[in-house]
Amino acid sequence: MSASLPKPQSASGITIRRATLKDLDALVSLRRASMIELDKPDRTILDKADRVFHRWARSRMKTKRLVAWLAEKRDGTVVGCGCVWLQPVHPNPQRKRNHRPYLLSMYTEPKSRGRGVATKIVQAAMDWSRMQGYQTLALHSSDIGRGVYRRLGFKPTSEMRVRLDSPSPSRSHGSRGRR
Amino acid sequence: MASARSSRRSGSGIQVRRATLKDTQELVHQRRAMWEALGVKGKAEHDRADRIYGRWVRSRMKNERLVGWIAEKRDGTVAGGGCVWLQEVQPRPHRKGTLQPYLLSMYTEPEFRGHGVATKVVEAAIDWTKKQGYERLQLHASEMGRGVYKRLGFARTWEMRFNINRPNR
Repeated sequence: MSASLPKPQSASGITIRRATLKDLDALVSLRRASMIELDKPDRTILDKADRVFHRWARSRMKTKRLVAWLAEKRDGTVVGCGCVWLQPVHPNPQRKRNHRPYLLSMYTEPKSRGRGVATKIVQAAMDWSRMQGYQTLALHSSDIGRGVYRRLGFKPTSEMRVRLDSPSPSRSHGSRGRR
Repeated sequence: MASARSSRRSGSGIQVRRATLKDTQELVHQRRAMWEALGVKGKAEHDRADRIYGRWVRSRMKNERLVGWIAEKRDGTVAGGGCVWLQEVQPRPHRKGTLQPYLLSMYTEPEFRGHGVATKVVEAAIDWTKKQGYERLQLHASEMGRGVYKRLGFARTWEMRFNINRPNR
């Protein structure tokens, strides 16, 4: 944990601050909203996903393997969020630690888009990662987020994926452009 | 963890079998050779990485979070290999659990390149991953590997990365 937190940043009346365990419900419900926007899964699936994410994020926040930021209006309404998880990775001679910062649960409510909220959250995540001594910040981008990440200097990696639920590997893939 | 059909034969006489803990040194050697081929230098760095990787691979093989394959000739000469590690990822609404199969440590000995060794190893990995009930297999592709993976149906994902120390890379 850093000794001094950076000052909250403002983007047209919206402030970014670090989330605490008390903000977990807000993080869960923003994540739910982003799932609905991407996919519209049915309610049973969403409810289960909420419970799973709540447990998963809670234990990781407690052991400091997950940090999060909220974007709030002056009246305290939460309009966006993002999390960084220290994801376990395989050992690499060029990397000192066996986990990497991974950005997830990025979401800005539709009404607050276009005001730089996501940009400010990602910058907070980048600052945090740098202060903790990490060399990289990774993420999987949705279609909506891609422009923000590109402008901030994120580059595509060499990651590839194959889907195994069809009998033979198919040439057309759903993995690009999907979360 | 022994599988019923533990090896595949091919026209070139190279078969792929499951690795065991006895193969740890071979897996460590392949990974070191892989890093060397990727341009990582320094004997001390490699030696240290070997020790770390050896421990990492052994503990995960023991708790069944990692499986490996060795490609070898009938006479036991090793041609190459690779591993699948069950990496922790974020929970997802449509997916069971948080483990995602990840292919790593792919290596083919120089004298065996061009014989489809990598393809055979990846096919064994795909087979295993499917039988375990996973829907996807993921990896980071080197320049050398990209063609093999594309032919086997792999496609780029939308993973992106920011290099904090070298923002323009």
